[in-house]
Amino acid sequence: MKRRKAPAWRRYLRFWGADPVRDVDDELSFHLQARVDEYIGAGMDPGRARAEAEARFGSVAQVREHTVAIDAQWARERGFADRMHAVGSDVRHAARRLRRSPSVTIAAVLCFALGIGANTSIFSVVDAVLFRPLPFADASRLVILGEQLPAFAAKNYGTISAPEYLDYKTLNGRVFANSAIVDDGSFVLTGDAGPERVLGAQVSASIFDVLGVRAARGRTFLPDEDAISAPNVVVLSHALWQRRFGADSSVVDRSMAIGGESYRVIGIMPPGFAFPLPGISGGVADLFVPYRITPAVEKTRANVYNTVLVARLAPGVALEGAKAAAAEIARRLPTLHPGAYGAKQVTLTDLFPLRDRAISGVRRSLVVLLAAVGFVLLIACINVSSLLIARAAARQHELALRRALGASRGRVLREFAAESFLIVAIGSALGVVLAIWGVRVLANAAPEEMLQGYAVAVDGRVLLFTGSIAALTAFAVSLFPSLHAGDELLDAMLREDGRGGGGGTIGGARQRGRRLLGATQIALAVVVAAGAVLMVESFVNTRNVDPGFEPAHLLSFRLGVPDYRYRTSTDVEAFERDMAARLRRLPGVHAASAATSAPMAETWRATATPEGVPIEKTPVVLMTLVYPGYIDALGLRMRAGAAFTGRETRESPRVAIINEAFARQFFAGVNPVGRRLKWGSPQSTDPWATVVGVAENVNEVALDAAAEPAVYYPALQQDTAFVASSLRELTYVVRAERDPSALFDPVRRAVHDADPEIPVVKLRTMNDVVALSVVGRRFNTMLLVGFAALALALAAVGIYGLMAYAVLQRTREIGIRLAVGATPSNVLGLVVGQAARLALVGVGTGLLGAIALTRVMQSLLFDVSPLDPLALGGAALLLLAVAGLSSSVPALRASRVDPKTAIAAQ
Amino acid sequence: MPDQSIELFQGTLDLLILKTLSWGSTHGYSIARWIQQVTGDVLRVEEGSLYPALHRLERRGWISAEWGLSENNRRAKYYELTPRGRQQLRAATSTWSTFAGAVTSVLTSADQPSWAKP
Repeated sequence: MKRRKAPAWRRYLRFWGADPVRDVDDELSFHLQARVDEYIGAGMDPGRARAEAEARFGSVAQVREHTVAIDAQWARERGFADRMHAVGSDVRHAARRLRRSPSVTIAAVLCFALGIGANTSIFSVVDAVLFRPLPFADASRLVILGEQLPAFAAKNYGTISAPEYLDYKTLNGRVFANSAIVDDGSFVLTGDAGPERVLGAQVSASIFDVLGVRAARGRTFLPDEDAISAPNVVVLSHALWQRRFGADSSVVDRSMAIGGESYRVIGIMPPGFAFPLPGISGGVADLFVPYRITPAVEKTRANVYNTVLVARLAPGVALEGAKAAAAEIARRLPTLHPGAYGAKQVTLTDLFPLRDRAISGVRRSLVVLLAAVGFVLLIACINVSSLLIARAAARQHELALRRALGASRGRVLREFAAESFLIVAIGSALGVVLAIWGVRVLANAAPEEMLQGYAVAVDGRVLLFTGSIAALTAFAVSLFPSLHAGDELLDAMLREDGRGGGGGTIGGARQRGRRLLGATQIALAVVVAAGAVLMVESFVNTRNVDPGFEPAHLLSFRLGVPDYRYRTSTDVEAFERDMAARLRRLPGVHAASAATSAPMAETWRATATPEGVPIEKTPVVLMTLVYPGYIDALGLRMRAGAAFTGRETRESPRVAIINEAFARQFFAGVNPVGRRLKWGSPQSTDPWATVVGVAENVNEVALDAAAEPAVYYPALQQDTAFVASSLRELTYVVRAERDPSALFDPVRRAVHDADPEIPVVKLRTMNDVVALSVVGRRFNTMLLVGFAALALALAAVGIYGLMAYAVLQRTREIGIRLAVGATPSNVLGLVVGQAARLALVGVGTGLLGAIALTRVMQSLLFDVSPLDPLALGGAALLLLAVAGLSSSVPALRASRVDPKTAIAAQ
Repeated sequence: MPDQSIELFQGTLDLLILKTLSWGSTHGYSIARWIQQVTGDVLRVEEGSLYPALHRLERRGWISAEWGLSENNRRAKYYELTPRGRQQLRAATSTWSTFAGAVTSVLTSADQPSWAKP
């Protein structure tokens, strides 16, 4: 069976590549025809011959289908293998090329690693806080019910009055799947491990059902365990169990002492469980005890609004519908409870998604930080891109030659893609390592209100994000140099006889492209720098704020007097007087006293009614109940009138001190001293108190919070049960003659001597307390400054690379200029001028961007406008300086070009 | 004649194809005819089933194919044994011989087992 080659023209039948289906058809029909021929040759008539042949063959259609399927599968496998092989060889070649210029490669990889590292770190935080579902079952269905009293000038704090839960509870089963109330508070643990004060929460027995979380050990509450008569039980957080009980499983079912009472531990929560979150209440609780609505609690109806109501929306119920149902209950409250609410008082309610409430304080700063690192990454990308362009330019002869010899455009583009892929891949891997470290640093340095309760880590989600960013970046950075590898390069090269550079067409196009990237880098860096300068200015402004008292030489700490040891308010007052006296007797102590709250540590707001002032809504003001000597110890400065005498008693006439903000708002134009005010609404039965003095405004909430109206009453003139319980927990302030931290140990000993079972909490110097009040701002500022520094450094690298390359490209031209009489300083000016033009365009664009973007930072700024000239001008100057510095080295190099070698070269 | 033909075991057709091609490259029709001729039409397969087998062998890299012209000047696809195909043929042949020998020795054994009825 001799075989001859198919004639050449046959190839053209397959011009568009192999056609497997046609090939199979040809093959099968050849077989059938051969068989037919054989039968005819043996004397069969043609019709029968064909029928016989087909019978012998079997189902042609089926054979055809099977065979085509096998071929198609094979083609797919072959295609994939070919592509993998091609990619592999591209990557190997790219690696070889990159190794040939290690400094450029290392610079590009480092730029990218820094950009990715910063991005991944911040995204880990943003993801944990803003995006990842909270660690509760179907957390998007959880809401918080908050009330607002239209008669009071206060916003909706997201709280209710605890007894109202009994009314709102009727929504369970139709609007709410379930609901619960939460009140955070501090609890004193006593026992072998010594007294310790922890943050805990009283919760309805239903809370864990609402959140959809089960205990890791033991159990959570039974439905009726919050009944008044139910025995004391407690659920512990994983953290407390580890810290205080050394993760001992036998703790479950044992009893422990909390606040002098015995509680049976029924369960330990799992490690990831964190509730309530900062933003919802004081922070994450370490223990949970049942919230019992006792007769005493019922008396606080419409008086105390401190309780958080968490509900899970029933299936199919929308937020709006639930709001309407809650509002209906609120409207009926005064009718259902006659006498408890004022005559006209209708409560306004609102429902907030749990997460919104939890993150409202930190969302904006996280978004700004994410934007800043996004810009940093963009700058890093541009650096990588510019470096690749420079490399592409260096290879222009080789590329042009290869294109001329028939290398496809796609082939050349693939090479660039392989280089950027390698740089991005190695840079990303390094960046992730950086991020793992960075996240740890962030998690330790972040203020509690930002990250407490959230699991911040570089995990699969974050890596997926980083991976997508990296892939996108690889694509973007390879795009630019690829554009330069196009046909226009080839044409130009051939025309220019291989001498690219100078002001030639391709050099021009390339330089324009790179200058555009350079200007973009500068613009992005200007925006980040402007944001950072604004934050720094805000921070400096806060530190320059006069807090209204003397924080130096002052320390403060908090003590709670447990009711199981001090039953009556007389006992409590006796202890507190004794405590203050012990403190005053310590050597080096100048003054000491106590109050319900100290500036920037705690805040307490209450209603106040000034006499004879037309008010539409009852003002809600900051209120502090003070012990004798507090005004002096704190160093509160009086603007008018006098401080308390310290001899005020329940029998003497009621007095009060107001601050300037209060005076300005309610006693404008009159002398406030001698006017009267009382606690509560105009209908309140509280006695009138006469204003004896006006104090300077104190930053009670934080250094960066505006002054609010505030009132101070002597604690010892108060006689309600509510006040008596509030006075069980006081903040002591001690004014030292020297360094207050030297008094920490004497203070601890003094408290221990007074009562060894009372733990000292939050013992800090007042300077630390003040600094803590802006710790979140400081954190954000430091991060933003760090990112701005990174942006500047990356931009400097970019500009340096750009100018160095431009000088290299123009070496010959510069040589000629020098040869025909230009001085080195002319050349210097030429290069610096080019950089300056670039910088000016970038800075101009950046300023426009900053003006547009810094506006979103408004709420993060303090005493500075987003359009602050210092910030914008400073950022602009900074970038101009960076551009000048980073172009000076290439400029100097240019001015030292030796004309002879420069012209002879190339 | 049909009553004498035997169904082919799975994989046997592959072995026959490889063996046929070991004599030199040829097209599918001639492979079919050669097998029929040598076996005296005992192994009578539907000729069509040859083609999926040929393409499968090609995909495995045991045979390769090229278009050429047949003796009467028609375009035909010629198959050729590759070195890997030759290896495979050797391995499969020895497996087959062992298998066939084992089966034959059981079927033709003169010895009787202990439980055989006298």
